[in-house]
Amino acid sequence: MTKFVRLIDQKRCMGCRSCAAACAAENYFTPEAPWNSMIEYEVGTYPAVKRIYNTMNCMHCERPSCKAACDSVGAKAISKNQFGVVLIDYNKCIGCGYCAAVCPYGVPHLNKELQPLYPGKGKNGAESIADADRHPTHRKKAKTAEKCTFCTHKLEQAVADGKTDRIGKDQAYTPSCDLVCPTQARLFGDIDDPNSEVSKRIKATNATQLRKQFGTGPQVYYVLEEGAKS
Amino acid sequence: MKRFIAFVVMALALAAMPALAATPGAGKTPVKKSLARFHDIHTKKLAMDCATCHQTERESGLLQVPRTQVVDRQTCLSCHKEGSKPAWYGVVAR
Repeated sequence: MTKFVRLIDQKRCMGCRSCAAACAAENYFTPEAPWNSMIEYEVGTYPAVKRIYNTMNCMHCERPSCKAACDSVGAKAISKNQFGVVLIDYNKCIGCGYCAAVCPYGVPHLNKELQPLYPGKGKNGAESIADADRHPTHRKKAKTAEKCTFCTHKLEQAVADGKTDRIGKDQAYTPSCDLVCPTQARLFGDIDDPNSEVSKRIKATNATQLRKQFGTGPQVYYVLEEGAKS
Repeated sequence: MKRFIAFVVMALALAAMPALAATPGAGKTPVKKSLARFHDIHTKKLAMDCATCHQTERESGLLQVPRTQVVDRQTCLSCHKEGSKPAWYGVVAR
């Protein structure tokens, strides 16, 4: 089996938001529905204080609460594929917002309307690319929920090229946020392969998931800074 | 007379059915209705106060993507865990 996971090392992260910027550029950013966000907070007591940088994207849970909610309203727009990636089908989404309401990490966002990046200046950059020329996950729609896809268009390309072993290694087959991190605080790969870099680092660093009390089984692991919330 | 009125009401209802089925968007849950239903269940049927879920200020370090409306899902977990109906959250990790 192959199960892709992400490791985020808070001890390395310096809060530069390169990951969020790369995600925005790669995935046709829409202002109302960010796929990658940064949460910052302080721990400790003066003078021994520390700033924690916690980037948040979809956790691609083993038991996704968003899917449970979506199925319960009958839309069945959310699925989990063979690589463990949780995806939203925009054509099936009815815009009820239940997925956004139940996610323990507040990940899915509803695009109430598609706003231009530069209001009043027409379409810019990626906005001018026709829907037909985009991957289905980039065909953004109003009144539709969106979230991180683990850059599934790149994973699909790896499958098409017969290079799934290069996922997490080659630029063409690795999520953009993980590629650009200047401090190598992010790592992506197959956790079912005990020899993969991500497996080794999760084991070596004793990395953990966030908000485990929800029992959703997130596929994003964090190396927690001392005093950081989990 | 009562039978006649009942017959007329039924006939009118049957006549209106095809028109309702042909309404654009029929069979697709309207967005507003769904969101309203969500709040109706919690505020009207369960008589919960808005402040039970909606906090006015965001707790520092709340591990959720920031939104305008702050709802810590920890509140939801107390009812919607495995075994309840509807259950959104899986088996609680030990």
